[in-house]
Amino acid sequence: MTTRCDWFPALPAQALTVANTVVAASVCGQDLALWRSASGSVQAWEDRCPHRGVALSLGRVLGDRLACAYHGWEYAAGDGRCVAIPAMPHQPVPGKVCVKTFAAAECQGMVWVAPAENPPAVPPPVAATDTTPHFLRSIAIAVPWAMVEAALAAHDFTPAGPCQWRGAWAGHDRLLLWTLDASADWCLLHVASAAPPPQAQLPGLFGALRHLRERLQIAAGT
Amino acid sequence: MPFCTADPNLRNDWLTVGAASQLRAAPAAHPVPARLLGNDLLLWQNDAAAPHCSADGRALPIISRYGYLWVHTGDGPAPALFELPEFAQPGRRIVDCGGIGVATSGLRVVENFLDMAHFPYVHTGTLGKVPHTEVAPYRTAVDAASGEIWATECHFFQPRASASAGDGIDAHYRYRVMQPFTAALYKTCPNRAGEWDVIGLFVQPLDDEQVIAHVLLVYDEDVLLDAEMIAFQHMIFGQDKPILESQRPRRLPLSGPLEAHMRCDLTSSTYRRWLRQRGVTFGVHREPGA
Repeated sequence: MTTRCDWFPALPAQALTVANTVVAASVCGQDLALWRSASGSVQAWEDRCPHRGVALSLGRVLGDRLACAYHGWEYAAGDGRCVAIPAMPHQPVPGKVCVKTFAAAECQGMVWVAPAENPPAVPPPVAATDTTPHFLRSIAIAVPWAMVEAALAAHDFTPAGPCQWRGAWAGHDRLLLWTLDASADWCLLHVASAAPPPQAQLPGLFGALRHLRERLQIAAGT
Repeated sequence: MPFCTADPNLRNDWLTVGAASQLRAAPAAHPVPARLLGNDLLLWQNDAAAPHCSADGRALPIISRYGYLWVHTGDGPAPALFELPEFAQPGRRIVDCGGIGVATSGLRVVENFLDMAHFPYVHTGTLGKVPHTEVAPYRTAVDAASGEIWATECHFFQPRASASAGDGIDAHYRYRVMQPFTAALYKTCPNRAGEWDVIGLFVQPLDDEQVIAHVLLVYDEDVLLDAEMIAFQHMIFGQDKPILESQRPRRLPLSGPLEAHMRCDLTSSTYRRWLRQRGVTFGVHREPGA
């Protein structure tokens, strides 16, 4: 098993285009809306509008703001403060309306999130590579995090930092893997290659990943 | 199987179990199953077309009114069902739009039905359109005689207020809450000045977090086919459904810091206060430890 720290590998940073997508994610049981503001910084917010509880991951990025899909209330990147209530365009917005935000940081192509009340004192762990990894696939596996970690250890992968592994598999000899504890009963496995992957061998790798998922889920009875 | 709540607001009142038309081919030998408050019911009609209902082998009071079936699950006397005089008004089209399953508290569904501020965002191009987002001041009151909530003097710019609307209009609305799980909307009739089209929302609570929302149209409408009117309502509810099912908590918080309330949420605040004063617990969020 790898160690754990305050940061968790939520998703490959390339999945968050600037001022465009909002991705629903789950980290250690906390539902999140992940998005990237026009200024480029990654945001990890509670996936819940403080007005009527609607999922903010259904919303829309407006530059440096995220707008809720239900009533269009707009929240500012950074502190998550409400800055516009379109139903009352001529009145000031009360200062207390605020989305709950979490620390998020990008590190060598991975978005790391700290789902704790207070932001961690140290930056997220550095990946075991000197170049930006080539992300290949993220798969969801409906088993607890520790089971996936045990399976990677049994596959002779080498721990490479908190929630990170490196090793060889299915014709790829410079693989990097991140395990995300999404919630008590499922996790995500992010798979990347430190070098440009041999295309002809990708189907074999994806098949091996699917097989791993099946095997673990059958073992867990899920 | 017992009913999943003892809340007298539900157990001592009439609750819908769907359209009366479902019993047309349901004699006692072939009853229709239905679900209400976590319990299975059987519905059928006798040779005189009178509805019957049983749960746990026990007969329950059932009536057919406004094209819908209403069941009383409590032991005490049943109150009178709310009035809907437009239903019997000559010339009105009565269209049952069917039921739509929604995985949330019925109180969330009713609150959404009472809300205008979401029109430009959820029903873009029909019931609203940016930049017409402002909710102008309106009034809410609880009618002393009936105990019903009325929201009046509501109006909102709508690009296509109904299936028959041609151009955008400043649609005038009146909202009415008859019971915790039933509401009605009176809106400007595009075809007849001075008349109000009525949309009834009758929510059938399967349990605290699962409902069927039934929609009844009582319209002054001469041109459109039933199918066109139903399709319009299905489009509108199809837009609301993913929003409603994403709300957390699923059960409605009646107080506390979970949700923020503004002047534009007056109907919602009035509805929540009204539910609180009645002591409604079914479909209501309770803080852990509270």
